[in-house]
Amino acid sequence: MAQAVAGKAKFGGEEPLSVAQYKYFDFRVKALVGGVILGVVMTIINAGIMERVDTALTGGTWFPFAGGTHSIVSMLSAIFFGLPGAWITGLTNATFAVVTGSTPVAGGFIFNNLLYPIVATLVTRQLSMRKWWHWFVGLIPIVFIGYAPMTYFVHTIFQLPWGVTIRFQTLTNIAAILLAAIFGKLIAEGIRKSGVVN
Amino acid sequence: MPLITPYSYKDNLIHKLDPRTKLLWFLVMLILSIATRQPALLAAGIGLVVMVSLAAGLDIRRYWPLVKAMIPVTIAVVILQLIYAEGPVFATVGPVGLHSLGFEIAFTVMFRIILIVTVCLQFFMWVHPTDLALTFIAFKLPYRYALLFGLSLRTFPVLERELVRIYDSQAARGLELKGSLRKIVRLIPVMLPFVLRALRRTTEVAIAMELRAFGYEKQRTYLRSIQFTRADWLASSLMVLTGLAYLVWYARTFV
Repeated sequence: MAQAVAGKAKFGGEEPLSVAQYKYFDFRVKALVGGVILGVVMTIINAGIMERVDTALTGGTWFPFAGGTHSIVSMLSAIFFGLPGAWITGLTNATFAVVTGSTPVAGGFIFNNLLYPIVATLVTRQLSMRKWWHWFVGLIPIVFIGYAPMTYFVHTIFQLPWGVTIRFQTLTNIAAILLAAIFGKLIAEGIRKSGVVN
Repeated sequence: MPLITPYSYKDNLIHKLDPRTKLLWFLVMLILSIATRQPALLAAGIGLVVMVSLAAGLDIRRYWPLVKAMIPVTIAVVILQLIYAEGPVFATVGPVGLHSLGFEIAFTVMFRIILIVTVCLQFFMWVHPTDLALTFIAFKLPYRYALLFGLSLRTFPVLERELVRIYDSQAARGLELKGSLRKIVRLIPVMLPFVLRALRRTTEVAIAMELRAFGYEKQRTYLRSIQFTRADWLASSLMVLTGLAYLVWYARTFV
């Protein structure tokens, strides 16, 4: 009840997607386990489907579809489990990327996935994420700041000129924003309606 | 090919080294692979990783599928470097000039990619998952978080099977899911049930863990233990000194 009242003040009278959006940190076992399981989900979808498509399309030097899935699942984790859960999701994914050697820039995922959840949690605690514009606008800072470390790693590992690297990263970011805004919103609403988390 | 290469125990001195020593080797090789820009030195690095793997009794044939998977990445890098590298143009394809320096950079990147993926795979072939968790605990990470990696390894095959079941169920309902493009367009009918089932599993696992008082005590006991022995000190010192000597020599010779 208290949360609902606080929510009315915080989100302009709108009920957010998850009760976890009332706080930044959630250290319950459920949030930690949820973070791990979403990290595994992200890895399975990326390694099984998206990275293959990316490799076929771009040769694996930039990741429009894997970036999209990464953003969808990271957003879900930030919304439903808070910052610790989102960090765990990102680090689980980064660890599996290193374990499986799925990409030579896997080491960069560690830094990327530490930064991304911070921005994602900050934004999802200011917006209820119930409207389409929340996703399209909110994802712009999340993706552009969150994926910044990857630019350095792509430039260093592939020795591509900065101009080319930034162009590739921008394309990855735009694809990630579009995919995550459309599919992320639909999936997040589906989770809210199902009531499996709240 | 399974996504994760399994750990297997080997009875030899290198394999018995502490996971922290192996982690140091992993980090040293990663740093050197990023710092080095000479293809011959990177190729020598790959040779070193293979030799150490053989000495540790690892099955080096397991590296091959991963190296093979990097071929498309390598081809893309060669093309991009030929187009974007500096240096004189040796040929033109339509409006695009191909630069001679591109080949050298492409070879460097190719060897770097192979070195990075082999050293990544090597690390998880000779470090037991529980030992990795114990390493995190040794670095003062609370066990509540350190043990989550073990949980992810256990959940991985279960969720993989679940995804296959969801694909089969949706296909039985008449949803065409063959081909990469269809899989992307029809992401929602697959991903939503997959995420929902995963989240339901979260609740079940969390309740089971809480009922076993997971995280209640600050300290706990473990079946396995790790120990930093004299051999580990020796190996670690050797790695750090050799790594530093290499960087100094490299900076004086090539930079």
